[in-house]
Amino acid sequence: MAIVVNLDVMLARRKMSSKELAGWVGITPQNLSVLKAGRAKAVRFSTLDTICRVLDCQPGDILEYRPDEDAEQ
Amino acid sequence: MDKIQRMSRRFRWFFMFVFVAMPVFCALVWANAEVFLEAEMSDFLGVEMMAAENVKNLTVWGKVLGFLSCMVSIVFAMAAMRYLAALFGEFERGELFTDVTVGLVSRTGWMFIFCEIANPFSQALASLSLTMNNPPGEHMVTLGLSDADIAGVVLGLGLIFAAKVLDEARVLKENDALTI
Repeated sequence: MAIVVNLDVMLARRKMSSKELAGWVGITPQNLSVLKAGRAKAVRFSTLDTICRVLDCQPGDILEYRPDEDAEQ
Repeated sequence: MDKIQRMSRRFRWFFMFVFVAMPVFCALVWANAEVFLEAEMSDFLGVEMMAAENVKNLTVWGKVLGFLSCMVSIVFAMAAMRYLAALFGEFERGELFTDVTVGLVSRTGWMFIFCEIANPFSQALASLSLTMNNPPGEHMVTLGLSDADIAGVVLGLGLIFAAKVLDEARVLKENDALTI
């Protein structure tokens, strides 16, 4: 998928662990791991809203569109 | 969910019982073929009345071959029962919408269809087994198609379609599991 999740970068900037973020957002650490690894099929707006509020960032700070080279050709 | 698991356990045992009982019942019927022929219950032997009325000398070999003839179609029905038992085993474990359950429903449907396709051959062989010791010129091969056969095919097709619907549910469930 061309959507890349840059949660690790924001977690490092805010000096927060994945487990801590998962607790604040109300999702399991396993689900957060799925999100970080780019294996998620979809993200609810409510989850994105909570993540941005906890990390004090914009959706664009954690989601990036990086088109596949094959798709571009 | 508990109710589904409890009912699934009962169905699993039921279909396992039917899986074992089918060949045993068939063997018992053929072992006592004369009784069923005299009682005009040729349906139990899987043959048309015409063949049943023309049996002259039924030997042990005739009975054995008759049993084996019926097993040609029964083996597919047994496979269907086995798949159904496995399906309810999966439901008992709480696995509802998975690749395995989809495959089991689909395969059960195909087994019902194969059973109905094999039925005419089975019937023909059974009628030949019953009349194999008749005098020359009095052997019979009968073929028949009943509404039960058509119902079996319709049921099989219905199960195959249900498997496709179940597969859609599986995809939705997987997407939901990966929706954070």
